[in-house]
Amino acid sequence: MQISIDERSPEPVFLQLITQIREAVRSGELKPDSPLPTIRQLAADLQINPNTVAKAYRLLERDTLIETRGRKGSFVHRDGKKHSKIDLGSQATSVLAQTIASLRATGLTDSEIRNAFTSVMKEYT
Amino acid sequence: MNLNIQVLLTSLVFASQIVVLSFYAPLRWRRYYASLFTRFPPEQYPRLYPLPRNDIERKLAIFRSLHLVIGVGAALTLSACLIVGASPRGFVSCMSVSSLVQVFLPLYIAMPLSARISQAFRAMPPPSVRSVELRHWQMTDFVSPSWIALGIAGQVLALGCAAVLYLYRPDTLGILPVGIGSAAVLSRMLYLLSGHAAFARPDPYMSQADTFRVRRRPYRLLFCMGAGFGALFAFVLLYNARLIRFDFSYIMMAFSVGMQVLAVALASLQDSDLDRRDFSVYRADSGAQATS
Repeated sequence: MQISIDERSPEPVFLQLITQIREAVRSGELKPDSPLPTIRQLAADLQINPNTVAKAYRLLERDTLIETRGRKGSFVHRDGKKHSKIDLGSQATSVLAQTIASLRATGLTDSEIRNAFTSVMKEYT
Repeated sequence: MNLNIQVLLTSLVFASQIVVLSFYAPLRWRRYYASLFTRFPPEQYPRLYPLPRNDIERKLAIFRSLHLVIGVGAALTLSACLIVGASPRGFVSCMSVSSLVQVFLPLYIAMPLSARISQAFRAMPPPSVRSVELRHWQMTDFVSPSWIALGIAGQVLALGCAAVLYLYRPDTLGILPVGIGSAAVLSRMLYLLSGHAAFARPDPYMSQADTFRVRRRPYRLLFCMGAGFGALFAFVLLYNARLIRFDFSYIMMAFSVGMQVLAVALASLQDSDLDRRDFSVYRADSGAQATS
């Protein structure tokens, strides 16, 4: 399968990689257990920083779409197709939207919510 | 009589070596650049030339003189051998030294230029939209399994011969260079086969099919020449250890012919690139979607 990146796109490159690999796993274009290129290879081919590919692979692994088998490299997870339907990013957006709606209902302004969110994020990072 | 035939054969091979390696192959090489500049001028294809045209042309002029000097030197050596009536062994020694100078000196001098071109290509900004095939490349995608096996077998043979001779006949000439060389080539082959090597892009704009072809070339060369040179070096070691008796001049003639065939094949391959390669990606007004 072909994978493309567009540096002019507002979407970060690692997200572009995640979206396309997720879609390929979901559509069955990438079969379970099929090997993926190494981080260095994909970075060299796309002429991007290896850390960007590593980040995309790490997040795909977190979502159980791919798995790393030691020195053998990264492979599409056996249950990748099933997990590709679960979008943790969308789940987080939905939970945050509900939280923001309930906070607004209590009378908090957007800037107060934003400040609270930023301070919580700082605390947990 | 036998001696005369041998001298005649050696001088013929030596003469063709001079013509092919110092005149014919460099001429094809210069013609390639000339047609490249004519068919794909730097004004229209700026991405094809990471270095200024004058810079490349100046370097080509230096190589022209260099090949000429080396070629004339080799021709004088051949003439001297003929005039003094050198022995077949003396002829072969001169031919071998000459072949090394004809091949490796220009390659050595060309190294900084190649490095500069690669560096300049790397410094060029890649297109903003880039596309690649998402697949795990393996060495078998580039080289057939039979050539991989032959390449490894050749190097194992050379290394094995070096090891055995080191144990039983340590005074044999050439054990150390053959051992070190074969170990290095074998390590490189095994590393490539391990699947951990990343295959570099030749330039940021090359099309997918061309990138594949350009990547495949050095690996094919590594395994094919690995097989040939492994067998040759094993033979040379066994010959030096006097375990096999053979007229060494025939080996060196075969080596010289092999080098000439390789030089012509590489020149033809380069020429065919002009018709096969997709040069539209280097145009100033191209859509600039790099693929690999």
